[in-house]
Amino acid sequence: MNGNATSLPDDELNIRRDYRPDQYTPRPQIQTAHRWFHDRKKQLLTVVALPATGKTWFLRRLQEEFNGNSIVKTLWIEVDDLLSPEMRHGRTREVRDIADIHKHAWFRDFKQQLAAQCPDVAALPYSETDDIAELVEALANEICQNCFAGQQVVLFIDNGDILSNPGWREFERTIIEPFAREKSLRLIVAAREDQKIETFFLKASQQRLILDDLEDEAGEQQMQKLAQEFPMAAPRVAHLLKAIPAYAYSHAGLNTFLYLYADKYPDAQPDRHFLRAMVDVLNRFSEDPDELIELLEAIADYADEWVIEQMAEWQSVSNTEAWERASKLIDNWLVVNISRNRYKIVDGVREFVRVVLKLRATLAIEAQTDDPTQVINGLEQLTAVTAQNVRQTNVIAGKAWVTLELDAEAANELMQLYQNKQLAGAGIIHMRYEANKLLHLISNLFNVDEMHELCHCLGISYEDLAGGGKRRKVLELLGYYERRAQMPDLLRCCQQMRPDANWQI
Amino acid sequence: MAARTFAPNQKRDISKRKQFIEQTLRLNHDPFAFATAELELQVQPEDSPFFSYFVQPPTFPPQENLLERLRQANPVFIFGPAGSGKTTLRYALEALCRAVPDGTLVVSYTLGKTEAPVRGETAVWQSLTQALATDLFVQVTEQLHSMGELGPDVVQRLGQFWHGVIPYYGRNLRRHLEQNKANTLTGISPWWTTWKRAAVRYTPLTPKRQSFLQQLLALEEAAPPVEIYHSELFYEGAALAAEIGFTQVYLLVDAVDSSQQQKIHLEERLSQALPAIHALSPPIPLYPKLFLPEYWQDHVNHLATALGWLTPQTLSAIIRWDQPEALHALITNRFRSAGSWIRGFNTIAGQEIADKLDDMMIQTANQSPRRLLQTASLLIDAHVMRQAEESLITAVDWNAMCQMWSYDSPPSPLPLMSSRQTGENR
Repeated sequence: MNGNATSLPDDELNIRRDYRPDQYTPRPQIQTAHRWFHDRKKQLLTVVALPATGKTWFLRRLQEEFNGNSIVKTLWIEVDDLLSPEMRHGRTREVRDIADIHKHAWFRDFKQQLAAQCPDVAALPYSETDDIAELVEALANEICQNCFAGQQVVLFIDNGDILSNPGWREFERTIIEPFAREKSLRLIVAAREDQKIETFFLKASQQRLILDDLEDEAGEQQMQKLAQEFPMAAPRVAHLLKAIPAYAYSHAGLNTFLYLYADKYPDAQPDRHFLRAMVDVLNRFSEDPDELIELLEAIADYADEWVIEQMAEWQSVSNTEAWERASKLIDNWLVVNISRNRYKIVDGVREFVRVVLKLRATLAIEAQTDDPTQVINGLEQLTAVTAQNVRQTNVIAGKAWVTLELDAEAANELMQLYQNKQLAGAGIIHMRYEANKLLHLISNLFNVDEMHELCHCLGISYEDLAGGGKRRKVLELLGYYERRAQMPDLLRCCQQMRPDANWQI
Repeated sequence: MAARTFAPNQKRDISKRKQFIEQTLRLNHDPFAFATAELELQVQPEDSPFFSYFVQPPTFPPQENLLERLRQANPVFIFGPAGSGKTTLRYALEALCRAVPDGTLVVSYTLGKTEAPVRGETAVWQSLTQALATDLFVQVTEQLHSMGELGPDVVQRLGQFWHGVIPYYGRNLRRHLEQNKANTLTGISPWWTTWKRAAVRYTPLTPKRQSFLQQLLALEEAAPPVEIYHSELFYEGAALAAEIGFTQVYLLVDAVDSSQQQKIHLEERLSQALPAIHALSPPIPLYPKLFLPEYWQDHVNHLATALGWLTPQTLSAIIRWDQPEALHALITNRFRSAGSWIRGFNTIAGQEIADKLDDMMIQTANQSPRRLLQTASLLIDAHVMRQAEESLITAVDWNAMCQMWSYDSPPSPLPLMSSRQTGENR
């Protein structure tokens, strides 16, 4: 079950499925869309969401509801239909220009479909040498002023996220704008967060609708529907979810992925293959999912939310390097900027990453007592911490210091309790994450080839270290030397290969 | 106040700024490079991001949808202090009318920019007629595909009017046709910059359009330049517009910010132009839409009252950027227009100022978008002078910006914390 960086996303795990009304999970934002329609103040409704969070099904549901209203006429454009088959199934979002030949092919089909409902459309002049934007403008005029006069025409545009930003701009200029010049036509466009409408007059008449995560009840409802659709996969999904109790079914695409994955792989486990498939499926254009997983791994063991400086300190890199890493994850929809300078891994993804990669975090606790046992007992009573989590205790200047090692998820829950002042009973006055400096130093100073050299220096085989990515291998290396109390040997080799770094840890 | 947003005595390090904007922040262009509409329009003129920067300015009295109100067939009087975005608003209205045509010919007349060297009423008519001819040419070409067939006689009269009135019309048109440059996003719209008009929509060089332009070019010899300007010439242009389907004219009058001496001259010019336009009785309705400095309010109101332009339908409002959220939207919109997920300067601020940098900038702006853009630009310059590859803007950068400040009312520097607290790069 090993993936590789250049393979295409697995079609059987494609969460972009044909709309099925019985499988649709109601979303409250549909009311906002209806209000937009009835208010008639704005020509354009842009439905914005992260990829794979249910935009298409939301639009399909809305179309279905509009179709139940005789005064509304809906039309649908699938952006994929303007692309060549190679582009449609391509790995990267590099579509910068849509070839005229494909635009014309789409236009002929679109016009033909309309002509079946309105014969006058067939009479519109057409030549392959005509400019597509002018053809669209004339068609839009015919549709609204003649064919469906008396009805409100609503045009849905979906799957624009297949296009690069320059490609999207060209599509906007040559297809959306000519439609929108017909002022009586209303448009609903599904778009990525970064896919802006630049057309001035449309932007001035735009309402943005943000499709948020599923709320608890809706998430559960979607999971139930998926369980009915994939009865064989249901117990396997339950098994997967048992390992990830923190996941609240909030991510529509992830929910679907869980069932598709469990349906395809009877022995589905929350392992690295699972994670790679997940990253691959959530963003089918991610160029190097393995690199993204490495980056996620390096930040998922830290707090749920963080700022760039904290990330830099945590990973022992410069602010600039931390910014670049965060930006790469943001570009691939795995991290979001919450507000101001705060970031987090996308809800849902974070929980899976932590469990799958078995990430652990270290917390340093300072307490107002000279008895560390008292602190541990207090924590045992208030939280799920046990004596097994204790790595070190100390008493300095009349204050107890306790170092705990926990699953990243449990560590974050404990930190939340501390921040909410719910640990006062245990006498805790300060709690902070303790970075594993050695892990970050080695991860940052050695690339994979150099890791091979380091292992050679240590007399072990890099391949024999468990785990997929470099960071995982470094963790294994550290664990190996810690268990054997041979850390000085490791440090000696590191010092030899990187004499300028500070190895006094 | 200087139009460029960096202090005149400071040398902007363009390569470092470019590195910060394009590589560190990964913006697809510099959305804070300039602080005036005219200069901003020159950024990527083939598909200018300028119009996507637009944020509706708050006004007194408040207008829920200002652009729609401006677009209604009524006189409009918009006043505002220097740097409040009057010209931007005028461009926005022009762009809206041209991008979604409804039979309106929108004519842009800028007091102080296109002024003829001669004085008196002739100069007024020269400027107005040239503006009408230019806009008629651009808008006929843009809308050619939806206008129906223009007979040879109409094309001939249009051509003669344009050749006669628009300076160097034939020479410039020939140059464009010979170069035959068309852009995939805008077609031939970048050509309009030659005639000081913005590219606002995709206008392909179709065979029909090419043939039309060639016919116009062939008329060059038959039309000697007009030497004496008077109201009849303007009237003739308006009649041509009516003949080919335009149903009304919006005359957008914008006055550039100017020196005290120029102010007197412009006031005089405005006092000549408005009554002259009013007395014209053009063949199709003409609605004046004025975008003027606030200090002209009393004078213009007096003129408008005398001309009977102040009716209950007239829109008269003053731009007042007294809502911080509107200025914040201006910053957010610019980052977004540059293709970024960044929402404001707080996002790229070091921890110690991350909850207040945008507010500090808005306070420094003192209700002026231009001043806000100048602050943003100067802050970027200060930051890149320290470290272009560093992503986060710190209190040190803010204080360096305060030192570089060359406009009035300098902002206050911040007390500095230790280097660790300020997030200095290690």
